[in-house]
Amino acid sequence: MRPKIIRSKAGKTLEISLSVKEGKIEKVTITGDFIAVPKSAIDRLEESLRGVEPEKVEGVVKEVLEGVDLVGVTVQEIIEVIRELSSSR
Amino acid sequence: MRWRFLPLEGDAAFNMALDEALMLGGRPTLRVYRFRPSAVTIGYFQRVSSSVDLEEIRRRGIDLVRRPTGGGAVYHDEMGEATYSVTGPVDLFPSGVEGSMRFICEGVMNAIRKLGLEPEFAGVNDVLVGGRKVSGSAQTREAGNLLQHGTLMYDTDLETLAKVIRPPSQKLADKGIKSVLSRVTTLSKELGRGVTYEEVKEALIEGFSFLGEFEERGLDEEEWKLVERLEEKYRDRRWTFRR
Repeated sequence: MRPKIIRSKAGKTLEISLSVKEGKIEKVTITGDFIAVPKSAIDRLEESLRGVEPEKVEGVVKEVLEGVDLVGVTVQEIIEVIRELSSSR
Repeated sequence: MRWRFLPLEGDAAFNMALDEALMLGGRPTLRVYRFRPSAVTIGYFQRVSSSVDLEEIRRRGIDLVRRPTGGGAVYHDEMGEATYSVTGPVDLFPSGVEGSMRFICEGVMNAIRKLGLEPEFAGVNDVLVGGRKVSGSAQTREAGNLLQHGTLMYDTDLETLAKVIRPPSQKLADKGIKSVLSRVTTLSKELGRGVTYEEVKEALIEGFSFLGEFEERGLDEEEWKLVERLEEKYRDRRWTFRR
């Protein structure tokens, strides 16, 4: 699991750790001082990303986070960090 | 609108269980309370090891608990910090999280004005005085109800705060600020006199009067049962260390 920490445009911290196995996401954790409602969305996103190939990350994240009220971090920022971590190995 | 003012306070696990129970119950309620003993709370989505210095927390005998709400780590100084919580049906507030957070934060800003200082809203959930943070808030929603709680530092020991809360290095680097100490302050510091908890509590109650009329009342039996059940979760280390 390699972590990447960014400061979002809204000034919050987004920390994502991710491991890749045979070209697919094996495990991902998404943490930080942002707000998400409903809060179960982040657990659900971590689950949904298991076994996903880097090129499919955008679609999965957008689908799971549709209608989720995110404050402090954007869907695009989450996608960018996950894509970078999942394709750089 | 008739609101309940609930004068209950306790340790970190009790306070968080009570706030969550009030949200699930959905009766419009305002709390103003302290953490007894002093505690650090971390946001629902935060990783413990990235957000606080566990060794400092243990050494100082400070409580640590994960909140039901998102947001960042907060040091609740028993002798220098007041926490508020607002709970009720979501339709009492502006619709989105960001808009309703700003709306509810007006209560904190009113309280600060009442104490003679000029507050400024910053980012998505902070209130500053003189460019430095005195208050941060967080919100969650469940079962059609909303919980927002937040801090107001009136005499917090900022050195302890700076030691127990881990600043994300990136955050500070971006702001060009060298230490936590230079971006936080207290009402006592800004006013140049000792501010008491009672003063702050009264100012907050008055500050939130735009919500409606407050009547001091306790919990009913069903609410107590829910608090007790939720307390078990907040007392379980697995909850706090889940991320």
